[in-house]
Amino acid sequence: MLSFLVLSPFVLAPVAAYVGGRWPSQVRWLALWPAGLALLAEHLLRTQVAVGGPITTALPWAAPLGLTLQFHADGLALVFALMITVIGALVVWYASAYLAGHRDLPRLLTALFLFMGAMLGVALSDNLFALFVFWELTGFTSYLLIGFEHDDAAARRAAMQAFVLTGAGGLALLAGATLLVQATGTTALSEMARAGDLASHPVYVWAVVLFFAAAFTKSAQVPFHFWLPGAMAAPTPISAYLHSATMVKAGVYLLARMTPVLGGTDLWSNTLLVVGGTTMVVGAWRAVQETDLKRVLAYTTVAALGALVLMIGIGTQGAAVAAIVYMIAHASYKGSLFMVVGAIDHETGTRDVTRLGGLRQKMPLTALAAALAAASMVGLPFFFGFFGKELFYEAGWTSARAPGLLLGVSVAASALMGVAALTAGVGPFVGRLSEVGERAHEAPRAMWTGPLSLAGAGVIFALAPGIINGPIGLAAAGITGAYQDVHIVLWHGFTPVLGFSALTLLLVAGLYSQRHRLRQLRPASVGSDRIFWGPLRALERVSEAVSPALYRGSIRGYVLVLIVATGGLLAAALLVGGGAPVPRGGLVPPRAFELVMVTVICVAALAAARATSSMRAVLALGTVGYGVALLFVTYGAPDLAMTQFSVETLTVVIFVLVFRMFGSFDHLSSRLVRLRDAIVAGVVGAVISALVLFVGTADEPSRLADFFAEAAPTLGHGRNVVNVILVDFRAFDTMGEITVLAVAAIGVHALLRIGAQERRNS
Amino acid sequence: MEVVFAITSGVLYATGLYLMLRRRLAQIIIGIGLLSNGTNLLIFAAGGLTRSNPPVVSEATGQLQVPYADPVPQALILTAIVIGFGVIAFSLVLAHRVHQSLGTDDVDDIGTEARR
Repeated sequence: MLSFLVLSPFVLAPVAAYVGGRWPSQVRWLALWPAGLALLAEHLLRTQVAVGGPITTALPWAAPLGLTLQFHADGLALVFALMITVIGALVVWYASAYLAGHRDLPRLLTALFLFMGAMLGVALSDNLFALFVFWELTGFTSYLLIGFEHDDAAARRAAMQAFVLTGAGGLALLAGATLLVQATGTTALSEMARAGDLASHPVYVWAVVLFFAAAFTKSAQVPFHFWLPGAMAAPTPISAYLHSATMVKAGVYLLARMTPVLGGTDLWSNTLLVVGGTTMVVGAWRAVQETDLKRVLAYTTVAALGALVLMIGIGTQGAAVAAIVYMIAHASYKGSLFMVVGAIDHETGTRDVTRLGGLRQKMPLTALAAALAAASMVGLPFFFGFFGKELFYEAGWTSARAPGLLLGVSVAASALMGVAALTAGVGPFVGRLSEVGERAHEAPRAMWTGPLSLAGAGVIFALAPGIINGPIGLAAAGITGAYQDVHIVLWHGFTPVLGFSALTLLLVAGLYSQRHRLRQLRPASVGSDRIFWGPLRALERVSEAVSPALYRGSIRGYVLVLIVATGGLLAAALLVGGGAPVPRGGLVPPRAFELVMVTVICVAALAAARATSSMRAVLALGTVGYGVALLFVTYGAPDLAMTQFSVETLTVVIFVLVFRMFGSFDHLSSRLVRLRDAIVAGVVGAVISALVLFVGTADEPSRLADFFAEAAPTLGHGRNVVNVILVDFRAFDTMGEITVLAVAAIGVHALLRIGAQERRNS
Repeated sequence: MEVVFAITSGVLYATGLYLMLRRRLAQIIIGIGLLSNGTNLLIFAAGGLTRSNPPVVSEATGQLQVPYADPVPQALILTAIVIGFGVIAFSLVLAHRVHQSLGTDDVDDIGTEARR
C-alpha cells in the first residue's frame, strides 16, 4: 500500500500528459487521484498507525549497493503525506482552470505529478539514500516548474538559482547521509534513532552541518532565503503547492525526522534557534515592504519556515505539537491565499496591491475564501491559525533557552505576518473598486472551490479540534520519539500566552494602519542575490576566456591538448603516486638477436616519422609491425605473432589499394611547429617508457593466469588458453569485436562504391 | 629486456604521436598504426616478460608446460590488434574518399574545402 502511495503518481505523470493533450477540458478530474491517495493515507493513519504503530514495506532496488525502496509510515510521515495529497488534489483542480487553454498544460501536469511522487517519497522513505534521490527529484521538478514559462528570462534565472542552491543542499544531504550510514551501520532512518549516542561520535558535527546545509537551502532559511521570492516566477498554482505548502517544508520535515537521530545537543538546538529566529524576523520584515502580492506571501512563507525551524530547535513535546499544528495551519491558509492571489491576477491582470481594491463586489466567493484564510493567518480566535500561534508562543515561553527573547521575536514576527495577511487577504477586496477591477468577474468555479475549502478546513479544525488531536499526537511522536496524548483546545483560561495573542492582534491593527509608512522603510538590498550570481558570472567569464584558447577549431590543436594533458597526468601519477617499483627477482637479460630486432623497429619507426615519400613511410610501418610480431614469438605468444603477421600484410595491401592519393610527404608545417611537435612527442614517449618500466617490473603476480590455465581445459574444453579466453570466457567481447570489424568492412565497401560511382558519373 | 621493451614502446609512442600531429591524413593514419603497436608492446610488457612456453596445454600431459606466458595480456592484445586493423582500414578508405572529393588531404584545408 505504501509503495502504491509513493509510486502511483509517477505512473500517473505520463497519463496526465496524455489527458492534458487529448482532453484539455477534462483535466480537473485528474485531481481525483491525489484525493484518493489522501483517503488512503488517512485510512492507513487511522486504522493501522494509530493502532499498531508504524508500518514498513520494502521493494528491492539495488540491493548490493544497500539501496532498497523501503518505506516507513509513522504519524509524522503520513500527516505530511496527507498535506501533499490534499493540497495536490486542490492544486490540480485549480490549475485546470488557471491554465485552461495553455498550450503547455500537459508539460505542467507531468512535472506536477512527478513532483507529487517525489515529495511522497521524501515523506515516506526509510532508506536515507532513497530519500536523497526523491529529495533531488523534488528539486529537479521544481526547476522545471519555476522555469515553466521558459520564454521569460527572469523565470529561467529564478529556476536556475533555485536549482543550484537546493541542488547543492542535496549534495550536502548525500554527504551527510553517507557519514551517518557509516557511523550507524544502517541505511534505515527508523533504525538510526536506536543506534545509540551519536553526539559523541567523531563525525557528529560534520553530519549535523551537512544536514543543516540541506535543510536550510531547501526551506529557504537565512542566508539562503532569497531563492524563494524568485521562485514566484512559477505559475501561481505551482507557487501555492511547491513554494508554500509542500516542497519548502521538506527541509523542516528533514529536521523533524532527524531530531531523534541528531537532535538534543547544544549545536543542534542553538543553531536552529538562531537560524530559524533570524529567518522568521527577516522574512516577516521583508513581507510588509513588498507590494507584489505573491512576493508578500513568499516572504511570509520564509517567515513561517523560520518559525517552524525555531520550534524544532526548542525541541520539547509542546514545541513538537506546536510545529505540527503550525505547519497544518500554514498549509491551509497560505495555500488558500496563494490561490486567491492567483484568482485576482487571473481576473484583473495585476498582483500589485496598490492598484487593487473593492474586489469583494465582483468576486464575493474569492473574497470569502481570502477573508477566512487571512483571519486564520492573523490568528483570530475560532480559526486554526490561532492554535498554531498560541502553541508557538507557549513553546517559546516554556523554552529552556532564552524564553523571553524567543517570545519577543515571535510576537514581533507574528504581528508583521498579520499585517502581510491583511495586505494580501483583505486589502484587494475592501475600499473603492479600482480601475483594474472594473472588468473583473468571479473566478471560474474550480478557482474558488480550492481556496474556499482549504480556508474552510481551517475553520472546521478550529471548531472541532478533537478530530485532529490523534494525528497531531502521532506526528509529534515522530519528532520527540515518544508518543503522548495531545488535546488542543480553543480556550485554556487567562494565561500569559493569551495576553501575548491579544497584544499581537493590537499590533497587527496598529501596524496595518501604518502599512504605507512601513513600505517606505525598505532597506537597501543586502544583496544575497548578488552574492549568489557573482561567482557564477565569474565562472562564466573564466570559461569564456578559456574555451576559445582550447577550442581553436583545429583538430591538431585538440590532439595536442589531449596528448599534453594525458602525458602530464601520467607523469604526475608516476611522480606522486608511483614510488620506486619493487622489482621482481631478476629481469630478463636481453639476447643479441632481440636487440637487433628492437633496433630495427626503432629505426623503422623513426624512418616512418621522417619519411618524405609515402612509399617509404608505408614500408617502415610494415617493418615495425613485423618486428613486433617477431618479439611476440620470442616471448611465448605465437598466436599474437600470427595475427600480427596477417594484419600487417593486409594493412600494407590496403595502403597500396588507396595508394594513388599519396604523393610525397613534403613538409606542410613550419620548422618551428615540427620542432614543437617533436619535443612534445618525445617527452610523452619518455613518460610512456617510464610507465612501461614501472608496471613491467613491478612485483605483482598475476592471479588470473593460473585461473585461466586451470579452467581452460576443464571449463572451456580447449588447449590453447588464449583462444579459450577469447571465444569462451570473453565470448561476448569477441562477438562485439567481430561486429565492429563487420561494420568497418561495410563502411569500407560503401565508401569505395560511392567513389566508384562518382568516377563513373563524372 | 624490460628496459629495452620500455624504450621501444616509448619510441613507437613518440614517433606515432609526432605523426598524428602532422597535417597530412596519410601521415596521421601511419601515426595511429605506430601508436597501436606501441600500446600492444606496453600491455605485453605490463603482463611481465618471460621467455617461456606459449600457454597451450600439452596433449600428452594435459597440463601447461611451466613456465608458461601469461595468457591474459595476450588475449587483450589479440583483440587490440584486430580492432586496430579495423580502425586503420576504415580511416584509410575514409581519407581516400576525402582526398577524392575535396582534392586535398591536408586537415587544415579540409574544413575550408568542405564549406565551398
